[in-house]
Amino acid sequence: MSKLLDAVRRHVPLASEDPLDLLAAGRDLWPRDTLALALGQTPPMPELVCWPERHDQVQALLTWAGDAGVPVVPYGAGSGVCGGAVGRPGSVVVDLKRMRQVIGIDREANVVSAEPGLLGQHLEDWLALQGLATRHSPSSIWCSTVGGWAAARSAGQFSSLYGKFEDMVLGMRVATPTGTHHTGMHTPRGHEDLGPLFMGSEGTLGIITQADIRVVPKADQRWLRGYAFRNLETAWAAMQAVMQAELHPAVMRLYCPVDTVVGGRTGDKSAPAQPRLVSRLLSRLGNRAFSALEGLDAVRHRELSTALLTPRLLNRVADRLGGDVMLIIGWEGMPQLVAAQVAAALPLLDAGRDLGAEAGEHWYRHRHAVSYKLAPIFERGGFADTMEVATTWSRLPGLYRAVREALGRHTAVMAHFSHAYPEGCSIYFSFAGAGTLDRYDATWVDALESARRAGGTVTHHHGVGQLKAKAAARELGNALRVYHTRKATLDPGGVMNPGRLFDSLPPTTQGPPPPRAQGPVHTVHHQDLLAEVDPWATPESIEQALAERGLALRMTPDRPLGDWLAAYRPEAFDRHEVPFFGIQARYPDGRAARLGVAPRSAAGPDLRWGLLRDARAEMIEVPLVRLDQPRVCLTLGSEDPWELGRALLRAGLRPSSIQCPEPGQLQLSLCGDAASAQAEHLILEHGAQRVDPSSPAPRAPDLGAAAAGRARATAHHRLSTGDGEGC
Amino acid sequence: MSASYESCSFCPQLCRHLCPVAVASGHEAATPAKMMAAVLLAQRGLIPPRDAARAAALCTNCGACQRHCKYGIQVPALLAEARAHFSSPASVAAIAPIQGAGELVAVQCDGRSWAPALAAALGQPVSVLPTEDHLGDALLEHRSRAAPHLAQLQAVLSGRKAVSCCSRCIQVLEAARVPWVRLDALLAPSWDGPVFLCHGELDFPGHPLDRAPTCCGAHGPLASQHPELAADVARAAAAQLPPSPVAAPDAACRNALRAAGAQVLDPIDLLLDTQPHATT
Repeated sequence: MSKLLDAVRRHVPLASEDPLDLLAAGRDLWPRDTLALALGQTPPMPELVCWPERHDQVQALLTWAGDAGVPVVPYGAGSGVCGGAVGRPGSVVVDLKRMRQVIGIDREANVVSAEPGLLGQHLEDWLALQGLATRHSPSSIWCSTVGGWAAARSAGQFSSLYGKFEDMVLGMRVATPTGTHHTGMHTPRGHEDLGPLFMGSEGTLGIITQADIRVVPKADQRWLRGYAFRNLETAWAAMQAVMQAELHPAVMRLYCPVDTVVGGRTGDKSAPAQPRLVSRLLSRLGNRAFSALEGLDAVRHRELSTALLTPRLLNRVADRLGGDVMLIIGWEGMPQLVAAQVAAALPLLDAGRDLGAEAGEHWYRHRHAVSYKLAPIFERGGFADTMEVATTWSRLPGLYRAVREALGRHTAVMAHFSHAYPEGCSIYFSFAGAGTLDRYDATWVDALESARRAGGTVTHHHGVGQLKAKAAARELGNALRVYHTRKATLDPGGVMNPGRLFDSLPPTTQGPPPPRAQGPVHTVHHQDLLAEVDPWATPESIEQALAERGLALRMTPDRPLGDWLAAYRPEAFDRHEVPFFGIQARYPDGRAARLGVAPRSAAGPDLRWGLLRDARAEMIEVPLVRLDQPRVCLTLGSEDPWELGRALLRAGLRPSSIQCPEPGQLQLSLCGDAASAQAEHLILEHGAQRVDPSSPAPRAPDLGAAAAGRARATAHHRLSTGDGEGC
Repeated sequence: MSASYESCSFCPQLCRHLCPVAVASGHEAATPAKMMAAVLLAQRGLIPPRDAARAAALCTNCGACQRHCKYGIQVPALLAEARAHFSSPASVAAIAPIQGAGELVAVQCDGRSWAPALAAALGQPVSVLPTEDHLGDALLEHRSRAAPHLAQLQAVLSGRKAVSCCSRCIQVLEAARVPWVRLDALLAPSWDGPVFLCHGELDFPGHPLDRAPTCCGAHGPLASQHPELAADVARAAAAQLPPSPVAAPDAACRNALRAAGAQVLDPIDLLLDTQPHATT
């Protein structure tokens, strides 16, 4: 037995130096490593693997590792695609899969507590027996863990309604080399909530040993459809309209022309034939080649090899494919609410052709099957990979074209658009090329640079790992000081997953200059419903300036934004209540940092909250609503108004504000195209009464009272105290 | 050897949540994909054959991965092929002569003599085929070497029907294509409770365990080559069982589950208890 094994076993009895265990921990699902394996290379191996079974074992191990200077690599199910969880030479891999228990469930609160090594499908199976679900449904659900979801800011297929995994986690317990931390709803009073920092830290700060996850009852109704649009631009407009009309679809996925054709998704027999024989032949060739790439057909080696070696030609063929693009869209929840949302959405989808329920249900049945399509490409000498970027609606077309062009120089590429937000959307590129490591690396260098230049984030939900470390650091710039300041406290020895995430620092720069604009509102981005505002201006002055443009703040603070945001915990907000989008702030030494290029970036942790603490904000970018949107304000009497509020949120209602202005009373503000129909349902079923929206807004943000109310409401959903539309 | 080792090695491990060994042990090396990858690396001379054989021995032959795989890759058979390729065949005992003239033949593999009790219960003579190595099931992984052995078994059992409640023995009987019947099927209905059948064929009326891994880890090469992981699998299976006793016809399953703390009934016990005068 080696000295290292002996030392580790004092803290974690189950440990191994067996070459089989080391070999297995030397690789995750980073396609570069899969390609290397295909090329006959074995991965570098760690020194040993251990399997803790309890938090105290993890804590003891990390304390020892920090003191001894031994690198530690946390390992879940190894489903990461960026090389973030790979045992490196000299390291101890902490395999968390023996910590796989559901610790407990608070049925009143609808919160389940789980250990990090629990596989996603096993959590869902367990919840299904209770009639519950997280509705976090990544395509990796069979092969990824709860801890990995949190560590890499995972997103599932129903994120538009339920949020990314980070939005579902109400609290965590995290072991670090310097001690244990409790986050979110467990954050000790007066301490910084480190939840946003640990979420997305990819094991570089500590090891998550427990996550408390919001769960929802099984939806009473699901409505799913496919729609064919004549081109991407028309479909993008529809997606944006649906999101900005506050209609909260559970699913919204748009497939590019190639992906639509390959999947045979629109089944459009009435589409006009290609005008020329050459075009028809090209279409047939492209269809065949891309089908081969997707592994949909019995793939012939020569056909696939030809496709992989001639990506430029193939992409040009794809450009000529034309034809429709397919949108999958759906709602779920309480039948009356779903009906209201669908009724409000149908006019916004008018530009598309309804393909019926089967198109949507087909997607639903096969929603996890996409991952099967990768292996055949490696088998036949190529590589396949995916890249998920995101940006605002106004930059989306440019980002799509830039990245597609960059990827297309090296690989055959197709894309779909999913994870939509009122402010923007993510793009998921799938690409395949001839299997050499040089080509693989060149593809990524070009693609990451093109995403940065086009104003997108380099990752929406796959995380950073090794693959995107430099690009993510460049994206975040001076804001990385927030991360490194805390890293120095949590992991002073730098033993946590070294060489991943932000080990490679970009040179510190002066950062962006102070905003030039005068007045409370600096810039308004109408298409994205975002405004850059002065964080120290009064809310009234901001509202007034916005009202002149027909806009209003989505969430109205009761004090200057800088103070208002500083007083709130991030976990106090729900996904549909994004409190702010971007921030520019200046450190005491005069250097500045800016964050917020895209909704829900996974380029490491969410550093916005730390930046608010560490530097003086000089610009906050906030989400807006249009003043001409339908709004309804209601009051509902109830002995337990917070419980009623929770029940409505669980049923899929997404009010723009919800509060208890006085005992026994719940006040809701509904905004968007479905507001009237939803209000009618609440009036009929719950005896709700309309309130004049023009009446003075009850100023809920008494932080103490609101926090008390919220503590009860965290149960299912975190509730905002922002009074949104001011009813 | 098959190209499917590559398919699994490059797959994102889409069956790992169903593998009882990978789930219960938490060992990354025990996922079907990583087992197959170890074989692939050994094929290419990148790791020692011995390691590949040990990796391939992390399988219980439960078949859950194969049933889930979109491509239907026969992982257990491929791992068996790898074990045969990378390890030496086991030596097995010759098939013993049958004792008695009854058409039904009790395959007695765990040292207990239950043929007389079965004869009393059925009211007909039952002969005995004793075996100490489960009819030489270890040879099944070396199919080319197994043929003469199976032919011998065929000849010995010619015109008779074997009775067994051991899945290892039944596997050999199946391979030899001789008629057989499970002991508990002959005795049915002897108990009303849930029955733990081997290799995922769970039969828990009304119990919502249909999606849980149900292998107890007692079969395949796992139990002999990685006994500590086999015990993990048994504990995980036992933890999923209902609190009331479960019947397990298979001796290996039964012993593994009992060692893991589960209450498990035994059809042979039942047979012997209900026919006390036949226990001699």
